[in-house]
Amino acid sequence: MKILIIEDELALGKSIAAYLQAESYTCELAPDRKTALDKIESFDYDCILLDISLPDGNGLYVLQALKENHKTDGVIIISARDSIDDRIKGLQLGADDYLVKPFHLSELSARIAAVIRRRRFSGSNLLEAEELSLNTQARTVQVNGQPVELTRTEYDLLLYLLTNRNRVVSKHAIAEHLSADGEGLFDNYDFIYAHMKNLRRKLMAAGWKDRIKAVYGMGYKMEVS
Amino acid sequence: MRLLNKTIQYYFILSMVLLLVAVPVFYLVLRKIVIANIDADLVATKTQLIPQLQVMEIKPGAPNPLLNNDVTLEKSQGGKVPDSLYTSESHRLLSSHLVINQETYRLQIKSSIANHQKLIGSIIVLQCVLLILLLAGLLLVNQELSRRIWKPFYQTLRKLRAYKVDDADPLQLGNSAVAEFRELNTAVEQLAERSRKAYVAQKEFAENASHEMRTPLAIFQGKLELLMQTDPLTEEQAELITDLATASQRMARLNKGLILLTRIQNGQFPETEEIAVKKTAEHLLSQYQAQIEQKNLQLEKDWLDDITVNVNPTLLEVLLGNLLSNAIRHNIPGGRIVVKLANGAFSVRNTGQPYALPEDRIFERFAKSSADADSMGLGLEIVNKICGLYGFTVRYAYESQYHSFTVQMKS
Repeated sequence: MKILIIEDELALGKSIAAYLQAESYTCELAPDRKTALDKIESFDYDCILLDISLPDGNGLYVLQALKENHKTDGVIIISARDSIDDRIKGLQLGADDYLVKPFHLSELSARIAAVIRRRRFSGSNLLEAEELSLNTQARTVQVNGQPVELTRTEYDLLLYLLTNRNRVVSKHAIAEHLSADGEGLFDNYDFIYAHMKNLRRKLMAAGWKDRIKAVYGMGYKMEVS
Repeated sequence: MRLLNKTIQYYFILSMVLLLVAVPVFYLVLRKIVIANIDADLVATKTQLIPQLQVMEIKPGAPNPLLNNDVTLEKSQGGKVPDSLYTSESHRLLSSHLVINQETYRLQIKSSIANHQKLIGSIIVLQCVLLILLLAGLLLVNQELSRRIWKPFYQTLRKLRAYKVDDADPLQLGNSAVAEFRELNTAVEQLAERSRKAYVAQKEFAENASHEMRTPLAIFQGKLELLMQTDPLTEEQAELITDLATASQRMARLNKGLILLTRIQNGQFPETEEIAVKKTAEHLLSQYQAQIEQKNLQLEKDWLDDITVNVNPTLLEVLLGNLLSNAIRHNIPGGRIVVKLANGAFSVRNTGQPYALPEDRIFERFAKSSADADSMGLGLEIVNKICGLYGFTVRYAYESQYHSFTVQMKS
C-alpha cells in the first residue's frame, strides 16, 4: 500500500516513513506543495499524510486539488496548529482525520490503518492475525472462530497493538490512546497493566497463544507473522 | 487628605490670619484718623476763637456769648504753658493758655468722640461681616470650582481602575479642556498602550513559541519510537528511552496547557451552551475511574443540587477535569475524594499532603507543589482563567486534613 508523506520537516517525514515501512507500506516523501501536487497527479495513494503549513503555501490547497481531480485518496492532516477552525476547514475539504503534532508514530499508524480500512475494504471489516480475527465494524473479536467478550478499553487496546504489530508501542502512546479525549491528565501508567492483564487472560482462555510481550517497562509488542 | 481639602485648608488659614490681623489694625488706623480729624477741628476752632477773645472784655458774672459747654475759659496761674491735646473720658480736649489784658487764661475746647467711636464700631462690625462672607464665599466657590476642575482627573482615575491590560481595546481617556489633564491623559494613554502592546507581544510570543515547539517535539517523539524498535535493545537502554519518552510526554502536555491558556486569554472559546455541571462531572469521574481504583481512593458524591451554567462545554470539562484530576493525582493511596454540588457551588475535597498549600500562589503559573515533580503547574492557572472568564470565583482551603477547592458558579 502506498503512502505519500507531505511534510517539510525532513527528519519527521523520514521517521514516519521508517516506522510505516515495517507495516509493509511504501512511503514517498514530498517536502513541499509543488512536489506533492506533481505526485498526486501522477499516482494514486492509499493514504496521504498532509502537513498544512508548507514552505510554499497552505497545504489545504492540496486537498482542493484532490477534490478537483476527483481523487479518493485518504487524507490525514498532521499539523502543529490545532484550532477548531483549522480542524473544521480541513475536514470540510475532505480530510479523513486530523492529528496534532506532537503525535506518537503508533497513533499515526493506527489512524492510517483506520482510514485505509474505511476507504479500501468497504464491506470487509475483518482484520486477521493468525488465530485472531477482529471485526472492526461490529467491534467483535474471535479466537479460532470462537467469540471473546472484551470491554471497550480491552478491544481498543487489542486493535491498537494489532495495527502496530511487531513494533514496540510505548506505554505513553497506549495511555494517550486509551484516555477518552487524549488529554492524558495523568502520569500514572499502571492502569494499562491491569487492562493488559485482563485482555491477555481472556484471549488465552479462548485458546490464543500469548503474543503480547512486555518490553522492559517501556511498552508492549505484539508479535504476529 | 484630598488635594481639594488641602488647598482649601491653606486658603482658610490665610483668611483667618487676615481677619485676625486686619480687623484690629483697621480699628486702630481708623481711630487714629478720626482723632487727627477731631484735633484739626479743635485747633481750627481755637485759632478762630483767640482773636475774638482777645478783643473781648471779660465781665465776670455775665455770660460770654462765645463760651458754652464745649468751650470754657478760666483764669490760670503761672506762666505760659504750650498747648496740649488729650483724651478724657469720651472727649477730646484742647487746652491752651492765652493772655487777655495781662491776665493768663486757660482756654479749654472739647469735642465728643463717643459718636465717632460708635461709627468706628459699626464700620468694624460691617467689615467683619463682609470679610466672613467673603471667606465663606471663597470656600464655597473654591470647593465647587475645584470639584468641577478636578472632574476629568477623577474620570481618568475611574477608567484607569477599570482598565485591564488584556482588554482588546486600547485605553480611551477622552479629552480635557485643562492642559495639565490633557497631558496626563496622553501620558497615561501612551503608558497603557505600551503595556498593552508588550502584553500582546508576550502573549503572541508564548503562542508562537508553543506552536513552533510542536514540530521539534514531534521529531523527538518519533525518533524515540524508532529507537524503541532497534534490536538488540538492552534493559539499560530501554530504561533510558522510557525516561526520555516520559520527559517528552511532559513537554507535550505543558505545550498543550500553554496553548490552552493563550486561547482562553484570546477569547477563542466564544460559543457557549447551557450545560448541567453534574452531568459533566459524572462523565469525567467515569473517565478517571481507572485512576481512582489504581490509587484505591474512596469517592463520595454529594449532589445536593444541580447547577446549569451557560459556558463553553470544552472549558467546563477542562475546569472540572483539572480540579478532579488534581484531587486524584495529589491524593495519598487509600485516601478520600468528596465531590459536592450545593448552593450554586462545585467543590472537590481530598486528602493529600498534610499541610496547607500557599493560598496566594497556587493559582499562578508554575507554582506547583515541590513534592510532586510531575505536575505541570499550569492546571490551576487554567482553572483560574476559566473562572475569570465566566465570573466564577474559586477558593482554596485546607481544613481538617482536607484540601478543598470550591468554584462558586452561581450566587
